[in-house]
Amino acid sequence: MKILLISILFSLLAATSRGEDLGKSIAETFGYPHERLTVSDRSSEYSEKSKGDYLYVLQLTSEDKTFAYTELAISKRGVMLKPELEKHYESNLGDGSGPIKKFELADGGYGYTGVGMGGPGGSEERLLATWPERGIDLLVKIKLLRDGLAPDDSLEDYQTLVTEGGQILDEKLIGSLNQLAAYAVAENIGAPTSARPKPKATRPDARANLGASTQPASEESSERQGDQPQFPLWAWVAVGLLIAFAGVLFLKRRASAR
Amino acid sequence: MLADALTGTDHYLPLSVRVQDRTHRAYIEHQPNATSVADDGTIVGNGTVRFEAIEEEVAPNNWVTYEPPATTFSFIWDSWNVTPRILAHSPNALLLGSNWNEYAQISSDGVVQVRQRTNNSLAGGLYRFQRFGGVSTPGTTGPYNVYITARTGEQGVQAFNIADGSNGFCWLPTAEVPHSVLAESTFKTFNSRSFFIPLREPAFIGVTPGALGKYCLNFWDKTMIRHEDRWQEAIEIGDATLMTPKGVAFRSRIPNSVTLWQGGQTISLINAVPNKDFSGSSVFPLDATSDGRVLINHYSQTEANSYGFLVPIDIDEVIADQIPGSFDNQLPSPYFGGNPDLPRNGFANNPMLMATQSGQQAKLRVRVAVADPQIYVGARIRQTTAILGSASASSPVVDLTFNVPSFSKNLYDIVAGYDSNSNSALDGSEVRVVFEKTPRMDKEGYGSTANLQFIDKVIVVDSDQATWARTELVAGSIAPGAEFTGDLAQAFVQGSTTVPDATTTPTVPITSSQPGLSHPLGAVWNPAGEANTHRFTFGDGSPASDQVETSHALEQIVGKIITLNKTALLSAHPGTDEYITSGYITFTNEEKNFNETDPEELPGGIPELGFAFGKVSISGTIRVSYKKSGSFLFVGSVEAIGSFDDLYDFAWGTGGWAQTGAIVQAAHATLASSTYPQSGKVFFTRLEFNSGFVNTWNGTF
Repeated sequence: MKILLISILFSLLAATSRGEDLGKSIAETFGYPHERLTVSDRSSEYSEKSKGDYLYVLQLTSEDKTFAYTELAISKRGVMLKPELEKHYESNLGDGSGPIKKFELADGGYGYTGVGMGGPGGSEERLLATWPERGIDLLVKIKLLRDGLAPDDSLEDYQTLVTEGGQILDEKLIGSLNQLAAYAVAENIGAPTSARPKPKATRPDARANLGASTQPASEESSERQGDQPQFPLWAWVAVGLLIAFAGVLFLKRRASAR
Repeated sequence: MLADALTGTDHYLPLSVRVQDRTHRAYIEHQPNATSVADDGTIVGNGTVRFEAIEEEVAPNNWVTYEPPATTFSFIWDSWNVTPRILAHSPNALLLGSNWNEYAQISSDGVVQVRQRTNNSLAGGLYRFQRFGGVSTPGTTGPYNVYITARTGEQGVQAFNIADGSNGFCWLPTAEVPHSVLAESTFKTFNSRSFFIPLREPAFIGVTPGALGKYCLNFWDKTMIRHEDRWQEAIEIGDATLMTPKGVAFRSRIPNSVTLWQGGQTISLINAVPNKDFSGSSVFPLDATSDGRVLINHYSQTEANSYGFLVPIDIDEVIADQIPGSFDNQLPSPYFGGNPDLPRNGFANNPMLMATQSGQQAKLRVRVAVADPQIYVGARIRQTTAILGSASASSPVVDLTFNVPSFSKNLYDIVAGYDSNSNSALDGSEVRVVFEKTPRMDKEGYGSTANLQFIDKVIVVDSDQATWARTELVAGSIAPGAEFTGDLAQAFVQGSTTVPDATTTPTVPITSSQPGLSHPLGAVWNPAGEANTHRFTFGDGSPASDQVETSHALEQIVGKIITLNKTALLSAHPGTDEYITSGYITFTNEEKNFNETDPEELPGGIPELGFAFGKVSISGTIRVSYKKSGSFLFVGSVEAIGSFDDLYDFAWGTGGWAQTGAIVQAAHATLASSTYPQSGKVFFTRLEFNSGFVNTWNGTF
């Protein structure tokens, strides 16, 4: 029993660690030093709050308020990208020159950029996508409040990026979404699939949004992770069990040595 | 009496002089050929101190008894072709004048006035105010701000402050300060006036901040000798230095002799050998040497009219000329920000946000420190050198226009320089000064340490940007789920005076300095900075009001008020096991930031209260239905009635979607669309709530 509990603990720690890695990786995508970041996995809380609609929620913050609150979320399909919202986005795509743009993911996934909203008190930049094959919606959002970010000259590039927005920010958001989607596959969130999503543009304007500067890096990252064998939760549990077993043996031997 | 002051036969001049009544005055009789200079630089002469009875009583102020701190002191020996006379003196200063038709008064507070003897009217002219030897101690004998009015037709307004031991005077062109401005009762301080510093005058004076010391930092705390219209250094020990806060152009009468100095450097004055001969003549144009030092050159007496001007190249104000006749949008600001620990202490409109009048052409009014046709002001993109547009500073306020790139969020430097190559434009290489006048501190006076690259820059919204911003704002505002947040945003973008679930108050005054208004934009201000707008009131029962009633913000307020009044509530309860209702308990200006108290419940949600209102001050009353048990208060239900007022405007610094709102606001009036001409107009909002008795906040306290 003790061994089982220890093994579960190990597996949870491993999952948390991977969540932190995801958060840090995304911070680096935006050019923010991840060591100054606080990564909070709020999946359980939001899952309970939403009665299971939310599958994964990761919040990124910094204590010194130099980082814009960033949230990554995976929900069941239709929870975040509600049908009426999707309809609204579709009807406002126009000729592609407007603020809302659509991009596609592999395996039937697609998403929208330029769907931010807010008011004088604050606003959010959002990238919202859905992946029907896995039955999930994905959200990456950055929240900016009226008081602004705490000034830090060493973070000028990052702060300019998130406050001024535009195409480069869209590229970074898509890069983050890539990582979130890869995480969904690695953690087996949503329905299983054989292939990892790979964003691709559907129109020239959307392709421009994906951006040359970040796309190769994220693609390379995706490919590298995609080539690796999947490492589902049960595998982590097994590893945890082995380590725990070894640990118990080690402790017993030390005790007998005394 | 007066003669008692004269003892011995050989004296430094002037001797200790005591004027004990108002019927006599002292003067020094100049004997030029008998003058020499002592080793310590003191001018020694065999002149005679004379006293003379004055014909009429000097009214209305009494003379001040003078007793110098020492028996010897340096003084300005003036050769104005007349005998210098002591016109007035104070405990540590002496005024020498040239005209017996005038007299001077030093009032008990140290103010000197020069008046015509014939009619007691204020006179003017060239007067020298010389500090006696020894440094006066500020606060012990002063401070004495000494002002001498200018006589019509004379060039010269002189201002002194002897509190810090400095002396000298600066000179203002008559055109800048007409005599009428300097009326009898007007003692001017020259906080922001343009001025020239002609070399022919000892125009280098250490004065109090806010007077002329803005540009002259105790430049020449030494004695000068004047010959005709020129001055030369008479006494000097060691180098004098001038710290130029900004760029300075020295332009002499010698053609093409302009020398430019970059601001902020210390310029050493290499001392010329003093010509101690009063009859000698020299002038000292200043030339910058290759290492930035300033050499004082000697010119022959034949160049009698050779003198130069030190012309500060500086910008005092940058004013957005977006809406004709409205100049409320300007820099510098009272403070900046840039404090990493207190990011909320920044000034929202620095950098200054503005829009073009149309298309890509930005218009600014630039107030320069000194008008000079060869000084040019211009604009450039920050971190670049190319000048986008420039204009001659031939007048103190310069109209500057320049084209901005379409659809950019550039920060623009406003710069000034000297048109050295006379091509009637400011070239990038000619820039000497980048405008920065806002104090590097935050709202509470803490120093600015970050974001200084943004201080006193200008952001210009162009027409393409405005069109795009309106589209983006509409797309976000009409998204399903945005509800009243979206309604308000849509009303803002479209300039609508109606919003669902809200009533409109059509005419509400607003000023450009309205608290909470991040940028003085979003209205057409009249010259007094006033405009009218409207107010949307979300009454009780509206969706917005309902959200407030169920908000954590109100929950916190109710909890706080009950806790604060717990003792009174307990004592008011009869002790029975029954609920009673309290009287109304008032709360005022409870600050709440909905973004902190009421974020979205779930990641896909929209924090409407936070977006629409942000931080507000809520006032109102509550009544509590409660019973008590010992020291515990059991709250069964609470009635909360209240309201808050807010201003709907966007701050550029928020960034993101809200920055897009700021663009729309900046575009109001000049770049609004024909479909929605009132687009981007700021307005007030008000929210009222009356929960009735509900058990939302019940619990034990």
